[in-house]
Amino acid sequence: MTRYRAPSKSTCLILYHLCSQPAYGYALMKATGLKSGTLYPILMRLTDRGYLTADWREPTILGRPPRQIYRLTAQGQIYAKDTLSPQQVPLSFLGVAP
Amino acid sequence: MTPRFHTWLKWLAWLMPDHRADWLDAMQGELAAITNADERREFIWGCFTVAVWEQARSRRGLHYMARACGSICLIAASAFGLYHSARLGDDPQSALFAQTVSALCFVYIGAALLLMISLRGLKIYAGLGFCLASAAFIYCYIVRPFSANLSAEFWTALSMEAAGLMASLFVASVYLGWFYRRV
Repeated sequence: MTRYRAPSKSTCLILYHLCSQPAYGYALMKATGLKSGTLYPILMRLTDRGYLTADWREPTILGRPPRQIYRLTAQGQIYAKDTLSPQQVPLSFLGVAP
Repeated sequence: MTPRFHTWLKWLAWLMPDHRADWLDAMQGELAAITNADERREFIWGCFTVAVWEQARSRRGLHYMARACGSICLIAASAFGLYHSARLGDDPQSALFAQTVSALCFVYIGAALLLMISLRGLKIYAGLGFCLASAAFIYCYIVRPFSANLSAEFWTALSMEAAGLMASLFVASVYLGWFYRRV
């Protein structure tokens, strides 16, 4: 089994935001305050490990290129639960009404 | 989104490793959604660092870095040589620099020739590089002795320009193989 080192604060931030709902890259940047140079390598790594899926969404505005939306996979959800402390995990993610 | 930003990001295609090509498309999609110019600039810079880092991490990236370092050394050596050969005049040191730079010119020309032979579909670019490197060589080392009455500053400037031209052509012709596959 491949073992990975403990996730960074930035990774935790991304996992935290993706726990609640799928998000676009720019929305994640806004929500986490991370720059694209930090965000994308983490997204790439998480996708490579199978924790994230990236689905293409057709643009809502004509003439714009399609965008990728990122969501946690089942494996990613388990990873996020294990990684984030109980205080960090959004209640909705645990199936508890806020 | 202005075409300028879009073009900048498109140029990253030659930096991003092949297995990350879809990520570049994703970045382009996000860039289109950013309306603020400063944010766009920041976003592109971030994407650039990602592309460089990803390239450096990949096996081909290490190869690329080695080639890039080699090319930078060649460029620096040729610029240095051309600069001094233009400044020193007729003393033996100047001749040595001129010979060094001539040898470098042959390297450029040889590399362009090799590209012409080995790479399919790139012959036009390699051929262009070859012609321009040859022209620069002829111009700097055959025309120059007959115009010795011109000032050293003139030759310094001309040599630097020639060095820059040759070096950029060489680097461009080397990397066109890679670029070509990505476009």
